[in-house]
Amino acid sequence: MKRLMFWVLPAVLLLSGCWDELVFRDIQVVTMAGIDGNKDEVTVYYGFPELLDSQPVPQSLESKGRTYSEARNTANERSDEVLDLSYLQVFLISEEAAKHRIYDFMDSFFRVPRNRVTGHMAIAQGDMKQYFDNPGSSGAPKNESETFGKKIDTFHKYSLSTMYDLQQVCTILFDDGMDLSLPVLKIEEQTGEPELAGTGLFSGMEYTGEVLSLDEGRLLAMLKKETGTILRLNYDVEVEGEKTPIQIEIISNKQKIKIKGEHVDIEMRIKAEVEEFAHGAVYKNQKQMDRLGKELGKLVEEDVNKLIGKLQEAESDAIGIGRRVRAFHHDLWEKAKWSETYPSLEIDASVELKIERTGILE
Amino acid sequence: MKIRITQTQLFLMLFIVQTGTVFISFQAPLIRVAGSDAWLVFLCLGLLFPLHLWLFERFIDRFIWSKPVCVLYGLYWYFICSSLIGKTVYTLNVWAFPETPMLLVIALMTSVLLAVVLSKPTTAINLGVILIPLILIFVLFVSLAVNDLIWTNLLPVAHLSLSELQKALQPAQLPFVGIELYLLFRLLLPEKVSFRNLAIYSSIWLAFFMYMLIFPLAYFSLKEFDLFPDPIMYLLKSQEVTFVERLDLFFIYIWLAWSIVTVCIYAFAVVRLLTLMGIANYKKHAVWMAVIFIFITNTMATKSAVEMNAILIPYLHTVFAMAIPAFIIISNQMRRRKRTGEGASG
Amino acid sequence: MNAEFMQSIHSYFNHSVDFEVKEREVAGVPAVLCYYTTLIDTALADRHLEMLEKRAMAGSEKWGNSATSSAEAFSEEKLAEQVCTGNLVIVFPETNMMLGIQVNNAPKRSPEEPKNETVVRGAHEGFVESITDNVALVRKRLQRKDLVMESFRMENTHAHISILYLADAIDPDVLAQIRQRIRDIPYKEFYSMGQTEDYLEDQVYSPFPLFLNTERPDRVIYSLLEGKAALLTDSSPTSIITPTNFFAFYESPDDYNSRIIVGSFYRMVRVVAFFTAILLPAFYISVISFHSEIMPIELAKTVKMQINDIPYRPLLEALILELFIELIREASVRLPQPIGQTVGIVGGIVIGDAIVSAGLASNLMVIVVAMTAIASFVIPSAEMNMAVRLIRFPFMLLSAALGFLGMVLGTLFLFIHLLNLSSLGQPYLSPLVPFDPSRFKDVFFRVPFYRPDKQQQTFNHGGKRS
Repeated sequence: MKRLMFWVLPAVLLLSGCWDELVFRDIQVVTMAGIDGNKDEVTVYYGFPELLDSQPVPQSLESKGRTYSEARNTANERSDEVLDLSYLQVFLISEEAAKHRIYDFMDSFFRVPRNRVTGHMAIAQGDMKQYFDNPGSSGAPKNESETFGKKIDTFHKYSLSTMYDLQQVCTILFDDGMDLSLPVLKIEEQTGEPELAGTGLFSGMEYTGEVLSLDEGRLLAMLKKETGTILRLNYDVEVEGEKTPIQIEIISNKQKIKIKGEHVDIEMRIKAEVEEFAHGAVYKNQKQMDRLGKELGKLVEEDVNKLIGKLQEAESDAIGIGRRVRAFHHDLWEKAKWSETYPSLEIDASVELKIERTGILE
Repeated sequence: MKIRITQTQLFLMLFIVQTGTVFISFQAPLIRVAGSDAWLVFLCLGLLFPLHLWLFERFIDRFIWSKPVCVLYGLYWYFICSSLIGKTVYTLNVWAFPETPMLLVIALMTSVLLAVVLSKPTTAINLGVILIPLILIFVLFVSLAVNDLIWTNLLPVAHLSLSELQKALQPAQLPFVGIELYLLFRLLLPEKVSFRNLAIYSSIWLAFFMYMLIFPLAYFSLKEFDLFPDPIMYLLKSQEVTFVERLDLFFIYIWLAWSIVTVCIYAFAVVRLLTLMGIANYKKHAVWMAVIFIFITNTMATKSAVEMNAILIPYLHTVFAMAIPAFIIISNQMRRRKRTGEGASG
Repeated sequence: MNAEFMQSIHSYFNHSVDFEVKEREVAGVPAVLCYYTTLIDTALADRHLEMLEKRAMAGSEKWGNSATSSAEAFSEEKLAEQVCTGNLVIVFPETNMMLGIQVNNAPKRSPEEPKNETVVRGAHEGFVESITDNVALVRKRLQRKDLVMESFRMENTHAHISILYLADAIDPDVLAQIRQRIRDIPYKEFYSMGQTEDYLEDQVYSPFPLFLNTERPDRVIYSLLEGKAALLTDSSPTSIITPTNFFAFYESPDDYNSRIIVGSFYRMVRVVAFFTAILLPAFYISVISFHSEIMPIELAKTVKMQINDIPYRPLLEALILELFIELIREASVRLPQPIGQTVGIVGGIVIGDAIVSAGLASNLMVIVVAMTAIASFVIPSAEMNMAVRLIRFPFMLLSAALGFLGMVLGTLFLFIHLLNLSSLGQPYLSPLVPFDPSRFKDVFFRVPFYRPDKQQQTFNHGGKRS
């Protein structure tokens, strides 16, 4: 019996062939996907490098359907190799589509095991088509996902906006205590290159249409503690009666969120390094440096409060105050739906900024 | 040849049996019911675990493997084997092999079981060693998620109502399944086990499961657990490391090896029961049981069967790990009967 | 009378041309000298004879006994045995006694370093094709009275198999088992050490070597101290060490001669090499044909460009290259060394490159196969090396059929097989199995000083054999 098994088993294996074999040769690696449309009709765009004479040439494919998956099926019919989303780098969603419950478009990304969920997600302004086969200034097609992937990485390095991959998007979408904020891209008309337009705010699962500027995006990233390696702020300060621009880089940023009743206090303590101060020495004496710090702190505080006002107006809890409320102030959380409580809260930010370093100059 | 094992081997076997298949998916049903309280519920239950083991150890002599008991437990473990393989094959089908015929995969896995069962008993006892490095790797890679954890997800606690708590107790039983194997494997151990060793084992066990519970709980938002049946796999899927994509795919296979070894130990237990019952020609029986096993398991590898088993097994666990041992031990205590030989009596 | 006697002896030795029977007087008594001219040192023999004469003249009682000579009663079988080992035998037909003198001059090598087990640092002596020299090499290093040698004479070649062990360290059960198995060898069947192994092994149908072969005395000594036995024969310099565990094949005497950290590092490199040699081609095939999504995007792009124009399925591609490497290996082993190297270069570089440009296989596959081959050569033991090279083929087939699933199942089967193996009834995977955390580290690290442990006796660690 044992000996029989010994021979039969390998034989079965060899006879059986390979049901799930999907040789890499036959796969078309899709690196970029985009969705445009609404509840009734979805247009899907795929961008992928196709090998022609052993050289990767960017190609794109567009197809329509009632839902994302239907559109995907049509695309599959049209492509000459199997479209594989397991290398998805960038996922774009148009402003119009984002205004619907966006999870509806994304369910298939999470449900099919082959799909990559660590690709970046962003909102695209304008016609989705131009992101995929825009000839660009040099004439060469620009839909190389690398361009997008690298650009988005750079945005993140400079903390220009909040960056999420698909899985994080999903987590935040389902989290009652936090709302999503995604980078918004636009096509610069002169160069034809994609650029960052700002940070789009979500309320629940829908895009509000509200776009924060790059400066506000930075502050939001700072408030969420999701800064990249570099975070620089520019302000004009008054020194000896004249306005002088100053640039600081944030070294560390600590915050405490205190919630009392319906009053939220955000206390931020920032340590910064001066990167540009054309006026001269930052450290003439301790007093001047302290004064500069204080003044900067005021300016930041003003901006942060403005930003929070904007967030509340958009009914978007992008900072995630709700998470703390749920964890530590359950009565407030239970009082009503958080999306209703949040806009009416009184949120105050106070900023204490200290200049720690002045660069290699005084 | 009389087999003997040491305490290390006993606890290694027990650990692998108890962790095995369940650790990637026990979180979801528990969190669905208990929300952020899940970890507290589980912690409290887990603290009772050493006590349970200690009771087994204290009254081990009163637990007599009579023939009907052997048959009962044999059937129970046979069913557990089948449901675990069913779950494994279903998960494998979903995550990686949608087209490969289920029967073939089950047959291949059963052949591994058979190979173990037909080998020396020591093979099954020591098979778990292969997993030790894999377990460490698993824990290490799950730890990669530590920066993305949202600790506020673990709060608030103690907001469960009594009825919710009762509901939560049921899925929280899953990691405990397999504890009754202690009663069988303990027979192979010549010396007594100190409470200290039991406590060490249970704290390792508890630490492992708490880790596997807290990480997904703090990583995902509560509502997502309605969607994820295997949170640990999802957590690994969303990890990004530079040298490889799709971490989950590697780990689904590590988990697969882990599961198969788990089932091997259960199968070994069933065969031990056969020898306890005095059936000398157990190999022939084992082969037939394996053939039947393939077909039973084939019906277990569907979504609905997997879900049903997840609900059913905690109840069976209460019966087989608590009610029956308690009954046997108490009745023997009253009649002052003690286990004498190694074989089945009565 | 003597002439008749001489005639009978001559015919007893089948009138072999190199057999000499001479009549002369020794110590005043008529005697007959018997010897093979091809086996003895004649000049030495004459000196011995002179010395014997002198001793006899001096009139000492037992003048025939000395370190090189001994007297015993005459019989034709005894005579044959002595003459065949290379002794000069003096027969005294009158007293029916004979005197054997060891003047053996059989050709033998000097104990050079074995070619297949070279070390960088450490002893450079190796065994030769002579039991006495080999045992001398061992005794020289292990000066203990409990180092025991037992010999068994094989019926067909009349050669000896000797067991060498430390009486204080060895497990008596193991010793009894070895004796029994040697006695059980059918008398016609002894030619080489490799054959002997078949009779001694527990599981013949396993690709893994269950006994360690070595030509190094220092290695034998390590093993003896661990309570193992060494088998030696006259016909080959190879010594079999038994019982052996799996990890012994991955140790080299070099480990203990080098620094602790360096030794540990290379030991771990070898463990990695084991897995690489078995699993790498299977892994590559699985990735290319099933799980391409695990590659990072940058790698995926290059891979895709490489393999897009290969006409064959990955399995076939791998088999072509593996076959090719095996051919090169086999060819270069059989050829004389200078030509062997040329074959390696021509095969490896020229044809390898040509295969890629011809589009039969991709560059990546060449890298994978080459790395696998190199990894398998890292293993210090030649037998283990062969085993590892062999078992990667089933793994390739499994992975081509089922991807990673096949690899997992294969690994489980492999491990179950290893767990079932035993070397003279001792667990093969010890100290990994039975799981013994305290001895675990020896497998992966070269521990600071060498503390020989006894060979694991049972599959249940700690416990006694039952």
